Amino acid sequence: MEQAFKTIGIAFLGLLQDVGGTVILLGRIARSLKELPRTMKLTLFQMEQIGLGSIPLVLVTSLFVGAVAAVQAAYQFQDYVPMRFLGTVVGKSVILELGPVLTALVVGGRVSASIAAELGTMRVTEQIDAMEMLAIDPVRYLVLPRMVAALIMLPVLTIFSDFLAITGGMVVAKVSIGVSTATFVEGLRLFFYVEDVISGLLKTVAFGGIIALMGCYNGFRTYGGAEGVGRSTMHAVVSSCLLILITNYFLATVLFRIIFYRGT
Amino acid sequence: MSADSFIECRGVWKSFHRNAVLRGVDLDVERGTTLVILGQSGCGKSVLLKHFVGLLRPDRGSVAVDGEDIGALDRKNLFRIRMRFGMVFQGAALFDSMTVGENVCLALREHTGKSEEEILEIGIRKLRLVGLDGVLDKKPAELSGGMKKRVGIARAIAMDPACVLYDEPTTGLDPIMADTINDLIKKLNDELDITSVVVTHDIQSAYKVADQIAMLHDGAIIFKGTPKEVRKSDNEFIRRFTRGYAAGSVAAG
Repeated sequence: MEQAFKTIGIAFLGLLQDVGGTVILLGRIARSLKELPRTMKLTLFQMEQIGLGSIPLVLVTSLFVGAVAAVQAAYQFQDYVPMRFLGTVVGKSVILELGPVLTALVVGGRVSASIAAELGTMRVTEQIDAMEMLAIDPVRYLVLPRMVAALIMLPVLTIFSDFLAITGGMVVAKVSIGVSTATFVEGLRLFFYVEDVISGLLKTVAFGGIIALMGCYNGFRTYGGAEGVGRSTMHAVVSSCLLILITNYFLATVLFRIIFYRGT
Repeated sequence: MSADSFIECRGVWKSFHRNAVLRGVDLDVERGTTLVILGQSGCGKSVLLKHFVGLLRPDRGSVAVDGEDIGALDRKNLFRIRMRFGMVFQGAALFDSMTVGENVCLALREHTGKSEEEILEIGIRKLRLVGLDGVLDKKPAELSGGMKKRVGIARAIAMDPACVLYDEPTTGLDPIMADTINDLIKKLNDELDITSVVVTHDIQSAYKVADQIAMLHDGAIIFKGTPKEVRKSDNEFIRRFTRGYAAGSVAAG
């Protein structure tokens, strides 16, 4: 019994430490924002790494997600809903949820792991201490460019993903369901609201921040050699995926139940 | 306390997970001298070294650099103090995503308004000073252990620091390369007239480069003196350490 309380207590203290550490890191990032012009070159490099580097992954994921969305929708429509609404359902589900969330999850896995492993290795090989010794703030030099790049590139990747997923759905609709492209596009335009696109993209800005923050925080707190780098990488991926899903619910509530709510 | 101390540690305590590594360290590093901190592996030498520049903060006690208590400084002022230091890390700690040239010139690019030509010229000059030529565009992964250490030294002296800290500079090197690094430390001290602190467990290296030797044992400095005084010491632990006996009486050994 005592052991159980001890374990719960240690886990709770660890959680508090992580929350506190993340908030402190966020504060340091905010304070280093004024130095952003000095880090433009590094930021552009990170945008290439996070954005361009993720394109193959997003391409495959989005095409197949759109395709399966069309197949699933058609299966549920049979005999009940006219197929001219196929484009509407695929478009809505991709723009509101599938595009932003799945892009964030796959890019989050790739990017947060890569950031945590890189910064974690720098921590255990004393490269971050070496940077401190050169009087260079590691938050400004390492974290800020990754954070800004992720905040910018996630919405860009999501636009790309939305387009590809809808294309994937449209191809499957024509080839295997027998819905013409014209009908699909007509359905797509039905109930199309710009607010849906904006809210989907707003969510991805938050997801981008989560991905970079979790990668950097876990990378910075790495200790214990190769084992520690592995542990940090795992924590970065798990925490960013969980936080994306949890944040998604709260953002969806704020955006669709409050800000863009069309009900009376 | 010496009037000409560059670094002053007073009653420094540091624990990690309830394990007290430093237990009230008092130590002065005199300006313009080379102090070697000797001690067994894991006795807290590197921990002490990191306290000199605020990479670690003491649980109790104080560290002052040039009379300024660094525990009371904010980040900006701590960076101002660190600009006066160069540090050579145990594993060299070169930035592996950068070339040798970028490593050596990074601080110059960040902190000086010098032109790219001037920066490169300084970089090449510092690399020549440590006996390296034509490695500017190489990545750290392409270098041997000794070359990495020397690039680490070139990076540490790029900004002409007042004090260079060496963390186990000869560990992991063959005896010839270790001696080359020792010669280099001596040469830099003579040519650049800087204060140096060398942390090592290599007694030959200590005798070669030190003006003063401090022995760290059980979390405290148990002895400080010249290499000659170390050789003459009748302290049981120092005699065992300098002669390499695991336990028991030296005479019996």
